[in-house]
Parts: sequence; C-alpha cells; structure tokens
Amino acid sequence: MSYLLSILSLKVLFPLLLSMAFGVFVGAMPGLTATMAVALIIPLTYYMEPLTGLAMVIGVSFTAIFAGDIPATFLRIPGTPASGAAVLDGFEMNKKGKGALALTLDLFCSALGGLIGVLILIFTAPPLAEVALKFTHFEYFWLGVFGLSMAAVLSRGNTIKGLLSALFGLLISTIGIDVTTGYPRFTFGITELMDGVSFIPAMIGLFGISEVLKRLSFRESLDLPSVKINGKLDVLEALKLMYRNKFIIIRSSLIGTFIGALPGAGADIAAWVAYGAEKSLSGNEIGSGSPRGVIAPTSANNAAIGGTWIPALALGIPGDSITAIVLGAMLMYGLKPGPLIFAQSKDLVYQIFAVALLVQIMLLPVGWLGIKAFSRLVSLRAGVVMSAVVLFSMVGSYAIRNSVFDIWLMALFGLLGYVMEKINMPLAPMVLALILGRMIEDNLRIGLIKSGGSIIPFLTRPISLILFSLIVLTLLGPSIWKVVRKLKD
Amino acid sequence: MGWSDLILSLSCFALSGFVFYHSRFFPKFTVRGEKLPGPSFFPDLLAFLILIFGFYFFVSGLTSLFKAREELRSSLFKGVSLYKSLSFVIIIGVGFLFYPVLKIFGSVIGITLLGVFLMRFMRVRWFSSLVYSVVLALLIHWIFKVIFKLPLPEGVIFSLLRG
Amino acid sequence: MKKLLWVVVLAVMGFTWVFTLSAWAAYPEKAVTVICPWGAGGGTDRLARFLADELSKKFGQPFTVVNKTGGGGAVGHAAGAYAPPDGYTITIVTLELATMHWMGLTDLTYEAFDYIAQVNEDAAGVTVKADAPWKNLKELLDDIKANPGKLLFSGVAAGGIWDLARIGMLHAAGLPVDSVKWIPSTTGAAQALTELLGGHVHVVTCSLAEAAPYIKSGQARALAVMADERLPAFPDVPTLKELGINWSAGTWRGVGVPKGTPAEIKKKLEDAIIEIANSEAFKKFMETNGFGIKVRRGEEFRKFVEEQDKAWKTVLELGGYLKK
Repeated sequence: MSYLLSILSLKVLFPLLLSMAFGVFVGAMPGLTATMAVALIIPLTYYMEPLTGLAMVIGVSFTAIFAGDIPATFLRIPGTPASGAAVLDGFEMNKKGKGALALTLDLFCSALGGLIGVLILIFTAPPLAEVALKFTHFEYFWLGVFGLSMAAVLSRGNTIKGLLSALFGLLISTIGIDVTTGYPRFTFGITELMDGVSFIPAMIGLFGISEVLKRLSFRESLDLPSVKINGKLDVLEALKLMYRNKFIIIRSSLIGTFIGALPGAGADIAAWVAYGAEKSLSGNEIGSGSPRGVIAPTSANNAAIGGTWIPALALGIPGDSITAIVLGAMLMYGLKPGPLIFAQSKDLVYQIFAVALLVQIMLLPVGWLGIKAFSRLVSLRAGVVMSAVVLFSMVGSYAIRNSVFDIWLMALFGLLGYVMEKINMPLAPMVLALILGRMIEDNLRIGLIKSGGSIIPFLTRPISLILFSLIVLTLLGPSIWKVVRKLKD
Repeated sequence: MGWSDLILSLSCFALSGFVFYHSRFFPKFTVRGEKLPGPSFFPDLLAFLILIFGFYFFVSGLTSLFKAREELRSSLFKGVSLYKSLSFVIIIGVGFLFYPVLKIFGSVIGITLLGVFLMRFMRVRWFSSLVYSVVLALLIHWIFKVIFKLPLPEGVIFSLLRG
Repeated sequence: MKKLLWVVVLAVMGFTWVFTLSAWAAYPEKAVTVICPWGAGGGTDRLARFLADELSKKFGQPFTVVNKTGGGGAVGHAAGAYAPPDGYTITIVTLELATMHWMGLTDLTYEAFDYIAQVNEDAAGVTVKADAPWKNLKELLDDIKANPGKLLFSGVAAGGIWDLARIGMLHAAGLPVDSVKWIPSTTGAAQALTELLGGHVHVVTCSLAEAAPYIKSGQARALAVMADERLPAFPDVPTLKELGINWSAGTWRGVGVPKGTPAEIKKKLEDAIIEIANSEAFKKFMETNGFGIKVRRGEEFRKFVEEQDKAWKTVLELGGYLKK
C-alpha cells in the first residue's frame, strides 16, 4: 500500500498519462507497434528517474495492446499483431451494429486481464519463471503445434478449406533464410525476403485491404458512414456480459499470462490460443459475433503483458521484444534484473508493480476516450474512411522496417485475402500459420539436432507429454465426448 | 463451387510442383555423419499435403460440375464487373505507386494526391476529398516523420527547387 | 469553439512540417539518416541511437536512426552501401559485413563502403551455467575430447559470429569442429542464454558483454574470453592465449558511408565521431551497456575490415558454410 502511495506523485503520474495517450495512438495505428513506441520512449527516459521511465514503458505497452483492438473491431485491421484474434468476433459484432458494445467489453476485459496478469506477476514470478525455463525446443514445438491445431478448431464447418489455408500459411512461412543451415529458401535473390515474409504487412493485407476490396464492390455503401454505431457505449450491458462469462475471463487471463511468461511466445499467440480454447469448449456460436469470442482473446493479450515481465524480472530473460528493450534500459539505470533484483532493488520492483496495477485502472478512462475518438472518425463517409485505411496501411507497412517491398507485399496479400474469402476459405488459419510456422519448423529441427535425430525427447519429457495430450484432447475431445454420451444412452 | 474448386486444385498442383522443383537444390543437412531433416524437409512435407488437398478439390470440383451443369458453368464469371476489376487494379496499383509518388512529390503532397485520387474514386466530392486528404497527409507526416522520425521521402521536386 | 481547435491543431502540424524542411547551410544542411542493420532495442541499435544523439548535438541537425533489418544484416548494409554518397546516409557497420557474402547471402562486400571509424569491439567468451561440472576451460576441452558430439553449444544462428568463434576455438585447440553440436538460436544471444540457464545447452559462446548480467548475478560462469588481453570488466577471466590456444574472436561495430562520399564530409564525420568516442559520456554509456571500446580511425578501420574479411573466410570454410 505504501508503494502505491509513493507513486502518486506528479513526477510519475503525468508522464504515465502522457505515455498512455501515446499508447492509444500507436496501438490504433496499423503498422506502428508497441515495440516501436517503447524503443522511441527509452532514450528519453535516460534523463529521468528509472521509475518514471519504466512507468512510461508499462503505460504504453498495456494501452497499445488494448488500442490495437479498436481498428480490429471497427475496420478489421488489427492495430498490433496481438489483436489478430480480436478481429474475428469483434468485427462480426460490429457488422451487427454492436461495435461499441464489443469495444466496451473489450476495454473492461483488457483491464481485468491485465490486472490478473499483473497479480500473477506479483505473487508467483520466481516459481513461474522456473517453469518457463523448463521449456526448450521440444516443448516449443508442441506449443506451436497446439496453437496450430486451433486452426482446425477455427475453421469448423469448413474444415478442409481451413486446413488448406493453414498449409498455405505454413508454406509462406518457410520463405527466407533457413535457421539451421543459413541457406536462403524461395527468396529468388530478393534481399527483403531473406528474413521471411514480414508478418504485419501480410496480416494488414489479408484482413484489412481485402475488406476494403469487398466494400468497394458495393458502390452505394461508400456514401454511408463506414461504421454504423447503434446506441452509446453500453457499460451496464458489458458488465452483465462479463459477470455471466467470468470464468472465461479468468481462464483466458491464466492462459495469456502463462504463454506470455514463456520467453519464446507472446501476446499474439496467447490471444489465439485463448480464442481457440474458448471455441473448442463452447462450440460453434463463437465466430459469428459472440461476446465470448471478444472476451477470450482480449483478456488474454493484455494478461500476456504481465506474463512477459515474469522471466524478465525474475531471471533477467526477456519475455518478448518489449521486455528485451526494457532489460537493456534497466542495465543503463544500473539495475540488475535477475534473481537478486527482488533483494537489491526491492523498493523499485514493488513500485513497478504498483504502477502496473494503477495502469489497469487508468486504462478505463484513457481507453474510453480512445474508443470515443475513434468511433467519431469511423462514422465518416465510408469513401473517406476506406481511402484513409488504404493509405495508413501502406505507410504502416512501410514503417515496420522501412521497406517499399512490404507495401507491395501488403497489397498482394489484400488481393489474396479477397480471393480466399470469395471461395469461402477462412483467413484466420493462414494468419495463425504465419505466426507459428517458423516456431514449429525451427523447434522441430533444432530439437532433432539436439537429440541426434531421435523423436523420443518430443514424447517423453514431462511438459512435452502434457502438451501432446492437450493437442490430442482438443482435436479428438469433442468426438470422444460424443461417443461416451452415446454409450451411456 | 465447381469451377472455383477446380481452379483451387490446379493452384495446389502448381504450388506443390513449384516447391518440389526448387527444394531439390537445397543443401543436405548432416551432423556428424547423421542425416537430419534439412531445409527441404518442411516445404516438401507441406507441398505433399497440399498435393493431396489438390486431388480432393479436383474430384469434388468435377463431381459438382457434373451434378449441376447449367447454373455452375456460368457461375465463374458471375459478379465480375468492370467496376469491380477496376477497383482491384486501383488499390493494388496505389500500393505499387505509393512510394514512387512520394519520392517525386514528397510525403505531404504525395499522400494528398493519392488521397484525392482514392476518394474521388470512392464517390467523395472534390472539395471534401481535398480537405480530408490534406488533413490525412499532414496527420501521417506528423505521426510518422515528426514523431517516429521515419525517412518518408522528401520529394525530388523539393530537392530540385533547393538546387 | 470546436472549429477554432481544429484550426490550431492544423496550424501546429503545418508548422512542424515547414520546420522539418529546414534551412540552407554547409554539411549537414538537412537531416542525416543513420541506418542500423539490426532491430530496435538490441545492442547495435542502442549504440546507433547514442551516436545519433551525440552527432545531432554536434552538428545541430537531426541524425535519425532507421532500423533496416532483415537477411542477417544484409538488408541494412546494402541499403547503407547503395545510398547516394552525399553524406546524408551513414551506416552502423557490423562484423557481418565481413562474413555474409562468403555465405552467399548477398553480393555486398566490405569494398562497397568507405570507413569513418570503429568504436567498439566485444570479445567472445566461453560461458557455462553456474553449477556446470567444468571448473576451467581445460576440463571442458578434455570432456569434449573424451565424449565427442555430446556437448551442446549455442549463441546465434548457424554461421553467425559466435558459431564462428566456437569453430575457431575448437580448431585452434586441435579438436575437430564437429566434436560439439551447434544449436542454432533464432533470436541471438538472449535466447541462447535462456537455454543455458534452463540447462538445455551446455556452453554459450556469445560475448561476455551479453552474458554479463547473468555472470554478475551468479547464474552463469565465464571460463575464458577470446580476446588478446583480459577484459577490464572481467579481470578474473583468462584469455584463450594464456591457456595456450592461439585464437581470439569477437564482434565489432563502426560507422561507414557509401563509397565515393566526398573527402571533406568524411573528415568532418570522422573528427566528430573520434571526439565522441573519446568523451566521458561515451565511456559511461559503453560501460553501463557492457560494450568494449575500441577506436580505430578511418584508414586503420578499413585495413582491419579487410583482414577480418580474409580471416573469417577460413573459419567459414572449416564450418562448411562457405558458398562455392
């Protein structure tokens, strides 16, 4: 409590608020990521006290991950990779005119998910970090496969085309330098492809530009507001929905925190896994604009941020690209992240925790303003909004690595996305496969190098075995359940 | 669904053929005399699976074509209009022209031009499209160049003016 | 009221734009781009941002860092080398410039650059987990000799600098280079160190600077450093040469400009960077980040890169990474 009071000074609060406002901006803009924002802020913080600097980083990262869901819901453009899964039901709800409700729900779930993640960070960081260390290539391989098995769940009702979509995504992810031999595959001498197809432009193209192309097919609709918003931000309705689905929030936040705590996986994978888990548990209702399909991924991605700080503080190992930058900054401040930080810099660590808790509360008003401002913008004529979307997507794709090639890539993926939806091939499995492809391939092959070509460690190590059983359960669970029920009758 | 299935299956065949052809040139991977899955292992596996899906869609496409000849044969080009194809060309074209235009006119004027062009195409009136495009261009310039300090091109025209 | 607000906002944005168009002057008369071939937040990026900051102060023009990542450094180096040679694009060149063209990742060689100055050098180390059975390097090497193929080494992707350092060390110690297994790490030293702490690999050969936080916190131990002399930050860690193995290796960073940049601009930049490199602020920055300082002026730096280019070719050949 005394720590909570100690951060309530203007020196901390003002920069924190500023950074959160900035976070809304960065998150909502496709192509600007929270990582870029943090890299921008860190040099400024060298002239501040460590706490102020870290508070700004925490403020930006939580807010940006939430704000990424705003354009995902209104325009089907994920603002950050972590919002990929929020696109699905959020945008469907928006189509029914319930975009504002979806986002209110999203905001509350983000804050609550973030809160759960931070609480887990506070109370179980060291032991959880030890568990995370147990993960190596064998486990990450299965985690990747587990994530990918969600592709089958995601495309239920259209499984065959969904699986093909995932296969295409996996194949695209093999483009680039092969990690075990350093050999460039399918790059045809294009230097920009050496590191593979960059994910963010591909995702913006698949989801966002294809949607613009679809809208263009209905000329008359261009004169209407791009998004119809029925009613106000319905807080009461959102709270009711949350109460009814409280276990989903808790479950998704736990999944999110744990995946975030793994050094090899982050908020994007967390959101997909939480979404997939909810879909496989509560059936086909999710995917057609169900509030549950909004609750699961949005709680999980904010919870994951708390998770990424677990190995960072407890072991000095970055949980994702943001904490990697933070660890560098901490060294600059003269702090030594690692097992000793809890003893050596106890005050600061607890102050960081206090800031992280405070951010969840402040997220509510800041996020609310963000939703307000954005819904004002998207109720302009569709012609204006769609043009702006196209231009922003292009600058954003360019901005990721200052590459003109990525603009072309985005446009081509837009076309691909349009064609795929035209022939009823779901997009989500491909996006998921693009995230996970390298994770699966690299970990499988590096694992095999480690074991000398034997697959036994993939099956006998305890965590591997657990993950493997989880996969079997998700894929075959529903059918087994059916058989069991039939036998009972 | 007949025709689209057939086209999909042909794309699958083409894609897996392409992968099989190229992966032959990938190096082998041996560690201490033991052959391990190399760079071609994963792409080949995927290509093989895609090939199987290709056969599936080939069969399903053919059968549904035979089942319902009349309606499906014509359905391939249903809904393809001049306007629609034009809109594709324009969006993709803006993607390819985006950087060259900015290179010539600089980011602010370039984005304004592209914005007006897109908005006019999307039925926005001249005046509003000009106003919105200018605001948009300034906003983009401000966010990306002033705050994030990204090297959006300054414009050949300005460099010439400056000498 | 609302309209007024809009006008104010637009006016502010308009002004910032006009000001970035900037005035006329001698070099640099406009913003200079500093290309960093590696991602935001990494060591090279931090160095780039520090240098850019100091250069901005010196010249009164913004030096902006641009991360052009990809292709194991190939994309950024190529962008820097093929930019117009007018001094408005400078590049933080790193060791990969001397290795990647041998691996067939790019056609770009060190000859595409003119060299301004080198500012950093970090020697590779031999780091093991705190509770590892080997007390010193000799025990480790004996273990490798007795059980070839058993130990797992890591640090970077296959063919990366720490892999090459490992190959060179084994070769110099008279062991076959495949007597340990190299576990490629996809995201560099951080991932390899994670694996080390988790007990999934045995030895990491990344720079001692990168391993420093874990060594200082007692989670890991350094058995040796691949430098010519002991590092000031690690006075207890012996060099390979002291242990009778004639090998040293490490990464380096410096500043380059496209070939053909006017001599007076190069001179201006070189003087500025040498001045920065000798400043207290720079020393403090490098120390807190754990980077080693090594300053070479333009001509000297060029010769060094040329030597490096030849030296790494032999090592790449040993590792089987050389593209014929």
